[in-house]
Amino acid sequence: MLGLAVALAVLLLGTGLLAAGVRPAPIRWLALAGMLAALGEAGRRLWLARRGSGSDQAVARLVAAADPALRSALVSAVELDLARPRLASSGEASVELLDAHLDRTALAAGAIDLAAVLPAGRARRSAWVLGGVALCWSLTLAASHGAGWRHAVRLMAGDPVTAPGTSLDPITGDLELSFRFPAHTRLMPRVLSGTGGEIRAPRGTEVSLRTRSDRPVEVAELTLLKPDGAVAGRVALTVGGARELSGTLLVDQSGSYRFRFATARGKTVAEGPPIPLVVEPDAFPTVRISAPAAELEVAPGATVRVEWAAEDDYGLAGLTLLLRGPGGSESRRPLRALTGLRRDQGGFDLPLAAESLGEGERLLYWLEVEDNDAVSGPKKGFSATQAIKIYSEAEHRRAAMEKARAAWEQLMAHLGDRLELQDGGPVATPERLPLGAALDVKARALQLSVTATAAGLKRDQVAPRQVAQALANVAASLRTAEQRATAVRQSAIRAVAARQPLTAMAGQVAWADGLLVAGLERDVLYLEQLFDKTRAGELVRLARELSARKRELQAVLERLRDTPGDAARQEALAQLKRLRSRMQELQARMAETARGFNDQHLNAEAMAELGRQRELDSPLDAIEKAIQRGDMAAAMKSLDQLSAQLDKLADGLERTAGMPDAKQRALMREMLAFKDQLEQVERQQRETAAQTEQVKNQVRQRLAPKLEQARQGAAALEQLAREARQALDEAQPGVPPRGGPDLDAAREALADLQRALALRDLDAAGEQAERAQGPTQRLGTTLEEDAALAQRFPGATGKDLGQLKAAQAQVKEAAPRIARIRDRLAKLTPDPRQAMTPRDRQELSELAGKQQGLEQQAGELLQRLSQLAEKAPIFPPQAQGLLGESRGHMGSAAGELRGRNPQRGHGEQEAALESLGKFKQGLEQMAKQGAGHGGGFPFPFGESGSSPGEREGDGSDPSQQKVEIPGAEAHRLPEEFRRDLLEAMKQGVPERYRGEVQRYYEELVK
Amino acid sequence: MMALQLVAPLLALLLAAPPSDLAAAVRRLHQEDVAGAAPVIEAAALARPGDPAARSALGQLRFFQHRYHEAVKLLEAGPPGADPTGLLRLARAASELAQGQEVAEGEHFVVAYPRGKDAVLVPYLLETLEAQRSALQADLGVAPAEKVRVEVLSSVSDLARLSTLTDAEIRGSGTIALCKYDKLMLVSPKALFTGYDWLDTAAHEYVHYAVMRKAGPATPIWLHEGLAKWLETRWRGAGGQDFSPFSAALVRRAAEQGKLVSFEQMHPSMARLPSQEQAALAFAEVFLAVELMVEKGGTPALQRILELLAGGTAADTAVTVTLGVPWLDFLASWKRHLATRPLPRGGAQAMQRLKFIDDPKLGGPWAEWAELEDPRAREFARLGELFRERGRAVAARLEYQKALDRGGAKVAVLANQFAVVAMQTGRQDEAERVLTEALGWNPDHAALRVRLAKLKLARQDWAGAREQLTLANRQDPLDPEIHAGLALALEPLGDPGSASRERRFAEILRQERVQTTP
Repeated sequence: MLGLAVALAVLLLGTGLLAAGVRPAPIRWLALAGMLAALGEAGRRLWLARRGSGSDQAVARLVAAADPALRSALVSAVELDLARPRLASSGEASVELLDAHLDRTALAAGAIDLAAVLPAGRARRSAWVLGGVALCWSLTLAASHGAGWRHAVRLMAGDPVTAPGTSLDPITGDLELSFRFPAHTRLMPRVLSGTGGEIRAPRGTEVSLRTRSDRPVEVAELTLLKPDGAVAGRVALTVGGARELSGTLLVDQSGSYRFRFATARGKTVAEGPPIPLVVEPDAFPTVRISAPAAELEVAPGATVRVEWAAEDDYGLAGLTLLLRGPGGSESRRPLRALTGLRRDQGGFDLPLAAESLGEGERLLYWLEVEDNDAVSGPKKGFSATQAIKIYSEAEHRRAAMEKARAAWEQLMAHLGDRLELQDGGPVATPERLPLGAALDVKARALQLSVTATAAGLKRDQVAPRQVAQALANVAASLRTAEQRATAVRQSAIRAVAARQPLTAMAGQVAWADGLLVAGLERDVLYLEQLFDKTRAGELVRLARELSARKRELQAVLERLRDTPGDAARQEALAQLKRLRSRMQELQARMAETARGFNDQHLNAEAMAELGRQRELDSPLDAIEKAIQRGDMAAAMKSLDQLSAQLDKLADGLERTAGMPDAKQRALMREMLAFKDQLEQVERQQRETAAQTEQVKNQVRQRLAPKLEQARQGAAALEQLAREARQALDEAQPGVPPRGGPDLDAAREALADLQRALALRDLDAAGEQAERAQGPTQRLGTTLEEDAALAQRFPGATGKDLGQLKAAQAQVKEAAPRIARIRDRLAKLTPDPRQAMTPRDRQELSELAGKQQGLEQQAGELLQRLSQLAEKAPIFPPQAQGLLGESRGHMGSAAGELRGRNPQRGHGEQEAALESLGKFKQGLEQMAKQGAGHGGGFPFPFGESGSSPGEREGDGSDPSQQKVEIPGAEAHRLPEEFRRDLLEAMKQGVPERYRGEVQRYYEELVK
Repeated sequence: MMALQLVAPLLALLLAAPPSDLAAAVRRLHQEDVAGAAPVIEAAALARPGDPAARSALGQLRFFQHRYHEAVKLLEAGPPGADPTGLLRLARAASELAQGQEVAEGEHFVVAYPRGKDAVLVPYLLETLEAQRSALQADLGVAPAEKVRVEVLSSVSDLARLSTLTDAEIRGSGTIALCKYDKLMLVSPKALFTGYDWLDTAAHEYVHYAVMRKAGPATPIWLHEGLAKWLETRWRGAGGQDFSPFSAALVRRAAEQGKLVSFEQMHPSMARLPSQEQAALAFAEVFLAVELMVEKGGTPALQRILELLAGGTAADTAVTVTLGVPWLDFLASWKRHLATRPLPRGGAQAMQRLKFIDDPKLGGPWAEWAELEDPRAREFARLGELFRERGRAVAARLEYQKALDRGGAKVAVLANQFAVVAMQTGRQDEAERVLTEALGWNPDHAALRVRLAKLKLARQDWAGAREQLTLANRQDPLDPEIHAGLALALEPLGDPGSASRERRFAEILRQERVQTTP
């Protein structure tokens, strides 16, 4: 075992040395000798051991070697036992004695300690050594991944025999290489001297070699080898002076080459080592589109400027534009031949009108560039594929409507929550009050969310503005209802905390909740109908577009009729396929739009029209078949049929889709009647005001001298006005959005007041002080409400409590000052009664009566408005405010006229007219929008009071509005603007600003 | 048998039927006397095979014998103008439809029906007609011996193709079945949104058939329809059961306003009346005429009148003779009866307008909701719908409840939807109360009965469930829920055979529904 272990150890050592790169021959011989010696010693020892235990007698001698007497007895017993059959048959000895001797000896031999006689320690040690060596082998083989085994085989069997004559050492001197590159690379010829011969060059390069052999040769050549070592070809070399070698090879593929010397008869004398030959790759050309962006949305018929840059390692050849339209067919348009430049860039215009793209359709485009490789043939590179999408107002509008519907779903969900709360029993119990309070908080969040949605839709150019306005109205009415419910419920919660009975509160809580639920019910139903109305409009539009598509088809057929032929027919069929695809898409969209329609909003005839869409397929099939068989008359006839069907569909839908139901028609009629009544009141108010002004002017003329004295006293009021205005300015940061209009109105009135005081126009000053007082008081109330709200729901108003309180304090500063100015002006202004004639008094008395009547009419209007508002969320809360304000002014005017004060009376009348005017403007918009179909649909109240920055418009259908689409050149200034600027520059500039202005204009036109 | 077939026409020929007899036979044929006309026509055709008139007559006979294919061949071979009654068109249509039909035979009836789910109708139809036959034998003394052919048609258009009525006339008058050309034609309930009283209608048409057999063509249309209307419920009990409060009110108002449909206006067919309202009024009038006859002379009076008519007596005389009342007096008492008859306790409270499934104006579900007259109730109902679609059953129930509070359970669809969400939210008692009230107003609304039956099944009120489902089946037999429910109810009621049949029907109808649902 030890010998075997030593032999394996030697083998392992030899393998390691070979792997380490030691020269194999000596190592191999030493290792083999060591192994043989070890194995020989092991064999010798085995033979000796075998010999020592080869017979029974030898074993007997061995085991009893320590006891000579026993050894003798044991040996003799063995011998006698072997001889027992012979002795028994011959009778030479007594068998009984023999057996007794054997038994006695066996008994004595049983006492021999075999472990002592044959010790195992040596064998165990040898086994351990062998195991250790085997383990080392295992680890080595595992770690070397097969290399160890290869080296072991090398050690045992030797390295494979190499081809005769091949040398690993060069058989030539340094080489001189001359390169002549292919023409398309435009590389200059190059000579490299003193090289090892390695060649790196583009394919097609001609390389001339010159060198000197290390011996005299008769014949020399280059053997060209492939990368796998196979011979690819041979190049004969010219031998000059027995040792000067030269020749030329053409670079075609990578691999290597080697020198070969031979005798004249062709017998190889020597071969040099392989020398690398590398074909430098000719890279693919690249092209990229730098403008516009990867996805661009443009108006139909726009021209898109495309900027590109291309590059190649040797030279560019051609640039082609590739287009793939909505139908999937590709077209190629060569753009320009590039003149072999390595880099080039440019731009071209892509007019989309020729592509006949419809709304929402996409045109894919990309560039293809070729290089000028004349050896392997031109290679192509492509840009990334980009897309141009035709702007679809419908898609944008649909997206906007989805947002509106999402808000509507939230309202529905909240209404559901409220109803479920009511279903559980009385809501004003200690256990259920918190549930209601939680819903109130949700309502607040919902109101904010719907408000945000409405604001987002208002900003959206194409979102139906009536939907945005309706959502805003709904949010405002929800807020009012929620505040009422919150206030009542909080009182009830406080009563529970104070252990007071809830009996009285219960009714109020149920009432407030009931109002909120009723309001939500009204709102979701109105919104649903408004949405359906909008969708009906979309259906009509889609039907019209479908109808318009047939004209394209007609043009195609006419072309085919005029220029028949296979190519034209194929083109017509392709266009028909595309049109058909587009029409199917439109039909699918129509079906999608019609799905989920509350069919009371889309009457039976319209539903029937939609059902007839399927009938369109039949004439399309007929057209296709007619084109295929070349029957143009039949194709045109089928087209006429299709045309008639499409027109009928569009007309039918337009006539019937989205007609409001009886209730909405009745509501619209009420609205119009209300508007008429309002106009009547306004007209009468205007007349009354004109008459009052006449009286006022007459009295004023008589009072002129006294007025002059009063003006002197007005100077002191200027300071008060300044302070009031300053206080409002400082209040501004804390004013919430809903207080903005009042703040603006108050500040504007105060500014006018200051101007009037400066001009000593007491009448105007009095009017402006009057004008400033109302908004200031309302602003104060708003701030108080929001401060209370912010205390309960921090962040709910968009202002923190501190800001609101600070603003409230400032408004409290301003309000008494305005009141004081008003009172002082009233005292300073001479009493007009002193200058009045009896006739003036009589007229004023009659005017007061008229004014009183108008105030009553305004009250009736207000009541009707309230009733209308309960039927649909068509009025924003401020609408009632405007009318109420007007009514208030009318009442005040009546009072002033009764008190013989035409001055103030007229001021109140003007204020009443102003409020009425704003209110009427909203109504006019509503009437204009609702007058479209049948009995009309009551759209939401117009945005007469819209805050600055909000979109202005005439309320017409947004689909009629032109939408500006940013094009690829949007970042550049229009040419006209640049010209205007340059013209402006020519005009004179003050000397000291000349430099600044110059720089400014330069910056603008960059 | 062959010999007999040959001998009979020869005998007829030997009786020397002149050509004028052939024309008379054709006239008899068109008066629905097929048995009387057949020997003459057959003999003539055999004797004069080359005679176009004989061939045409034979073609017409084959049509009346429902051998449509032969009829088409014979009629097509006729000269132009040889088919003034337009039977060739009818024969072609019938032949074409027959290709898609299965045929089932009963003891006295043969039912041809469209392949598919209409197979479910056959056993009920046969049971009803056999029961009606027995009842008419007792009441009118007539029980046709031959097997009567009943053709179930898929749509109103098919009925128009097989008759001289136009599609518009059928839809306008609400005609849904006809007895003509020696057969009964019945539109399948699947052609209507919520079915119709198809079994009573089949029985009604069979009365016409029996009256034709009994009294021949001399019976005026008012008496024909009056008898048919009064006797259409005989198969399930007494005659004259099906007179609704709506019909009573309609006829009373018309009598008061002098806007009755005259007997002359009813001629030649109720189906030609301009609207379903006019048809309903006319039926109510003639129903009450027969009711008055029965009041005065009992059921035997009807048989007597028919016998007199068969003997050639005029209708007014027959009535006078039978009742012992002068005709004008009878008319006067009839008009009094129209105005004074007490309103019936149960029955439809409103016009039961037929809703054809292919009517584009009935495209959407709101068509049903539009029956809610109160706009506010309609709004609440819409909110209920919105919540139900969103799985908010409690909110939906509350909104439906608000609609019910304003409009009551008069509108079936509202009551039904309320019941759905009430059951979903554990308010079974409320659901039952509303369904019961709604059925008082809409006794023929199958969906309400199915809903009520579901409640009863849940309470293991098997008999109650069976009653409701059986009534529903008389209206809308192609609703798989009816049959599934019947299968559930009949098993514990000890009728496993019928339960098994119902289960099979339910399965057939479900599979049909799956296959036809896109």
